[in-house]
Amino acid sequence: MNPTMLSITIALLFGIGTFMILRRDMIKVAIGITVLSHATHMLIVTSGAFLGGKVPIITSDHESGSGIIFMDDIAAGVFAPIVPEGTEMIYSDPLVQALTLTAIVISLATTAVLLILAYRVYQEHGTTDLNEIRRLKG
Amino acid sequence: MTTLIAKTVSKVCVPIIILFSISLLLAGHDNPGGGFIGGVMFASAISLFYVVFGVDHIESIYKNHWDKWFAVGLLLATITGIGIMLLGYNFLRSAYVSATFPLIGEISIISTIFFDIGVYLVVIGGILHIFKEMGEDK
Amino acid sequence: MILSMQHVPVILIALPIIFGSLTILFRSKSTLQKTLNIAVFSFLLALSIALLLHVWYNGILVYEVGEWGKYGILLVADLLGAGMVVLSSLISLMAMIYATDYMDRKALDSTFFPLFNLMVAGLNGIFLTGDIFNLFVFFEVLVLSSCGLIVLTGRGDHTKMADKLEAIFKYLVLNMVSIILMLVSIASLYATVGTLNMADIAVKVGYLADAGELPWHIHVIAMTFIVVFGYKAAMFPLHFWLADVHPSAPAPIHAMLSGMVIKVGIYGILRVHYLIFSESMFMLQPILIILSLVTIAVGATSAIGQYDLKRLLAYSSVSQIGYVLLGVGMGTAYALTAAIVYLVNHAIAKSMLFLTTGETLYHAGTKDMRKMGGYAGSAPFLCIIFLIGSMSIAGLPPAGGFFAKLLIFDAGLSAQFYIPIAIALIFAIFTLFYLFRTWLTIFWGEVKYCDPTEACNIRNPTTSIKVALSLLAGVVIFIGVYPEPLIALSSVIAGQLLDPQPYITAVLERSVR
Repeated sequence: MNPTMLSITIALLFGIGTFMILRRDMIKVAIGITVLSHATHMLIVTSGAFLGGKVPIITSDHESGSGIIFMDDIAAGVFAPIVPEGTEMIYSDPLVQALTLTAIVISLATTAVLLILAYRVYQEHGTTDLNEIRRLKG
Repeated sequence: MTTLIAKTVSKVCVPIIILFSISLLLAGHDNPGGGFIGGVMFASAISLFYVVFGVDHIESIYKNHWDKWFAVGLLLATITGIGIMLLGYNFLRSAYVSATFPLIGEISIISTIFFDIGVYLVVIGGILHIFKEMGEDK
Repeated sequence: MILSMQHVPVILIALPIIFGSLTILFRSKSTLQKTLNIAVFSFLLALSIALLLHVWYNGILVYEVGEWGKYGILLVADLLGAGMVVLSSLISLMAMIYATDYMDRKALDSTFFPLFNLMVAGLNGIFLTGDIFNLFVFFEVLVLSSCGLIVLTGRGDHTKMADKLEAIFKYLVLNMVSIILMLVSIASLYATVGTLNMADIAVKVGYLADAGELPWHIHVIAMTFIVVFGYKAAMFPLHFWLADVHPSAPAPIHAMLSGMVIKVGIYGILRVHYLIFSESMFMLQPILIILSLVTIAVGATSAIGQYDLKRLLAYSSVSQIGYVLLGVGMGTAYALTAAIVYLVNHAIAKSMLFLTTGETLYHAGTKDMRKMGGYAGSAPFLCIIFLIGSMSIAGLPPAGGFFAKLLIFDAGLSAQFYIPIAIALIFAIFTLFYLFRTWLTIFWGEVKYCDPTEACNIRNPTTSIKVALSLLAGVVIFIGVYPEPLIALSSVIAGQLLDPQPYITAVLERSVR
């Protein structure tokens, strides 16, 4: 994975999401929220991805000592996803994938609620135009 | 969408998708897969039925309360966590049992599988409850 | 075994989830559910008090979920977390007792009990987790369940369904934006220090700061967290949603939202900023003080112009949150003590006031204050409870709010924040004015019966509503008459916040099985 391309993609997704959130249509706002969440998921994944890193699944034929999975040494100033100099990092950070999966599940639930809400609002108000749905004031 | 092609294809496909979702669920501990992915796949299979045959038709054949699935799944997942505490371990600590069965051979059972089944049921129940309620809405 | 003290933090989260799912299975039997849920919530209150006492006597309790050691999810019950859990258990028990008579039969039979249980699980999870990503997960549990609860209707709830849905849409979309911001900041924090455990992050940030290599974006992350938590707490530029969303909810949910859910933001600032970002507090404190003063001013002035009773009290919440933030922003030990006392007092008094409001609106049959009047004769109980709540919020003795306000002002004066305290004092008079004007309008003056066909005085509180309100009023008066235990607890908490070393030691150097 090329980090530059990834960051450009994430930035584009954030831009698209922000643009969609500012639209007047309720469904477009829901889509914007979804795009923004997925941009965030990609951001989380990239925070643990390394150039040329292997998939962090340890099979039974894994030889010990062939690479570092996780380095953490406060005294040497080494923090986990940052690889110390002179060592070879062959696995990606597995934690970020768990985080992303959790975030995806949560964003699924939120998107479902948001879309149902948009549908119910359409039933009650007869429109999905956010400029016409402003009965609460004061 | 009640064309003959869609009906015939979905009758063949849905059982296969359901079997695949169960295999994904059971593979989840050591290989790619898991409760969430399996549950989404199961839910998509049933929603294919709902789309092709219509909610009313499916309900007239077999009436199902998907919210009960949700509740049972959530209960199962939490009870898995609580249950291990009765043995003196911490919440959600996984236990590991190997047993030899006739004909099948040795199978190792990990208590997290019950948690995964719980997640599977929660995802199915949640998604399909939404589908059904929204589809029945007149 | 299962009931040893060590397991209590996880039971406080798991028990509401279990009962949430059980109440889905038995949801048509609402009489059984009422008894069962009140029993469960009383048990949770007892457990949380036991947890607080345990933490007070035996030090911070750390629980490893799944026994994954250093890399797993931790639940940490320190005094702040355990104290907040006691507070949330108390308010949720009272709201539950109240709701069994207040909510419509339809709401009780469908989604009220499961969602309320999940909401309490989310609150307890937020207060007990020691992992910053889990904070996000429990935020989402809280937000989604409260979205479902706002739609439900009760008997004094005169909001139309269309308005409720509009309010929830605002709430959910804005919450999602803030949650996305939170995820972005968590991801950047993780990329910087490589851990999600809050104590571990604090150690590593401290190490970077000691080495003089603190990256500048730590300050940016600290500011985005202020935005996230400020959104939850309805801090000034982000307060606009509260007056739409909270009044749309039925009274018990309104009490939970205004009593506990907005306190989550304050808790987040206290926990995350004082633990992790203590290096960037020097530039955040002036911002917090200025924003809290604007919050106080905007909330109080908006409340004065309102005729809708629930909306007035919602703006009053905004204003009161400003006082808590003022204490948090001043940042001395005394000011933090004052902020925590204020938070506790506001949570109890405001939820009591909202519960009373729900019953008053039912009594009146309208939510417009101009159509109410003279209810002191027909509803003397509500009149007294409303007066106690108003006195507490406005800061008059013998209610608990007096000591809260006194401590805030005294802390400000002793830390030489003269101008902020002067501004806060002026708007405290505003608070006094609008609350007592409200009380006088509703309960005194010419008797106005809104609905000629149905006389108001038959719509009076039932026994369980009276029990919940009297208990809360008793707590408010108790805090006002005998505040020493609360002040002592708050000052210990403030000491722990300013010196988080015991927290870090307890989390990182615990005995691993």
